[in-house]
Amino acid sequence: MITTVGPFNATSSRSTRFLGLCLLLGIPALILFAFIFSPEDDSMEDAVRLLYIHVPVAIFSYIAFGVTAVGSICYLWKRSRWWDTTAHASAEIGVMFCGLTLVTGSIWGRPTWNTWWEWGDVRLVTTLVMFLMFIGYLALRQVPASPEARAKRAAIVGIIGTINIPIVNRSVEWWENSTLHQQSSLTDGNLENLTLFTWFLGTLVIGITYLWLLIHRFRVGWLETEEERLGYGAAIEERQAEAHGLDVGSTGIPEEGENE
Amino acid sequence: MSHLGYLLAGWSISIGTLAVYAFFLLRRGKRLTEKVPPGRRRWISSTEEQSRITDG
Amino acid sequence: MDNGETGIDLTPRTNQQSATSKWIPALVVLVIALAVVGLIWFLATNSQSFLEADKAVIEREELGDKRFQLLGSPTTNAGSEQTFVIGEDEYTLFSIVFDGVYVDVVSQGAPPDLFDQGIPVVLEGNWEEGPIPVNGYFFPNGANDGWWFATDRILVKHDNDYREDRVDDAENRGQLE
Repeated sequence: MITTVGPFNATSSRSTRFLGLCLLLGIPALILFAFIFSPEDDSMEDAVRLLYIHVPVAIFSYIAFGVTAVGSICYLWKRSRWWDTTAHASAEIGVMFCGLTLVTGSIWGRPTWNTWWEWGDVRLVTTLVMFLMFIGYLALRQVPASPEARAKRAAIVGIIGTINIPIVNRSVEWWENSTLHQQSSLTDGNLENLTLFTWFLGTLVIGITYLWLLIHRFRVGWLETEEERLGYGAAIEERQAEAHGLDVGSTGIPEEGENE
Repeated sequence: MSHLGYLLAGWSISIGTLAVYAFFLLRRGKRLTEKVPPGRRRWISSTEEQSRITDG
Repeated sequence: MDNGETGIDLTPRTNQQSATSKWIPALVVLVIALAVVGLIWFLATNSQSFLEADKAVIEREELGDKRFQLLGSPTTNAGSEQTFVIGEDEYTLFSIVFDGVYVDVVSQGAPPDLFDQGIPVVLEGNWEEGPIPVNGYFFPNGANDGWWFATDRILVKHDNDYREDRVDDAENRGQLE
């Protein structure tokens, strides 16, 4: 069945439209607060304005990978497609957020630390390893297999990869002398006034972005599986038609995954 | 404003990446939706929603 | 199996999973397992990579001319009176302190923008003993004990305090002179 849809409303609903509206207002507000209303820092001057994007994307990369872990555990427990699709969707967004964390951190590090990257730095290296692990997770999901086998493998890797999250997060405390990275400003109460507000706004906006993307990505993942299933159904019908000697306009080429 | 180049690079890469990802995600959703009947899209809950999508 | 009428083989097809699809998942899992092992090895062997100035002074003889990363806070900022050009080389002279132990530093090149009194720095270089490249220089707020740290790379270990009164707090905590 062919359905006509607008250019970008295929995976939208009332909830995503509401979140999208919040983003349309929130992103310009964040830019205004980050660049104009919030003060510069006494020592790092305007470089502090990079932290209003770097810290929120870092926090939500942890959350995204955490959701992948929860989805993976729940999949192995319930064998539910809903959890597998959620885990996959969250991992893809988490990889993007983690990549942005590394890039924005590197850009902030150059004027602040006097270096783009330090290979001996525990926070940087553990974050990079986390990024690569979840790229491995996404790569594994691309390997041809039955949906069940694919989901099971991915769930195991998703859980293993998540072990790294507390290591990344606590590395600045556990190996203080092996990292240039500062400890948490929020938990130490070292943010105040507009600096604190802008950080909070950034976290809220990136949080809404994560949720909006997660819902859309989940639906895309759901549609992919539905399409795959429809493909199987068509292939089965085609073979049944072949068996009855009917012409269904087949190309004669077996559908991919027909045997699974 | 000090460190302007770093600021512009960091913010534009972040917002640009998010925007590009969102664009391709929505486009992917649209392409797949055209192949899957509305009954198999569980987030379409109301008839109003269905008719909105069907009418474009 | 053949149904005899159509001549089509209706035997269920066996799972013809290719060799590639069999070894790729194993490879991905292996790479991730290696990443976990590598990460644990890195964390176990790389800890304490910055040597605090007080410990570096105690271990001075053992360290010899070995290159390492030294941690401490500058006792002064890097003003023009501390920068000297000798031949084609530019040197900046300053001292750092950690836990009350001072180390004099001879840095090749200009310090980074954020270099300032009281903001911890990590210096890459090695111990030297004897006269410094700038004859007769006396380090204000320094050790002046005949030993100096030769560095060509200064990294700033910025703290996590973004409050307006943090300099006052630092003074109260005794981190600034």
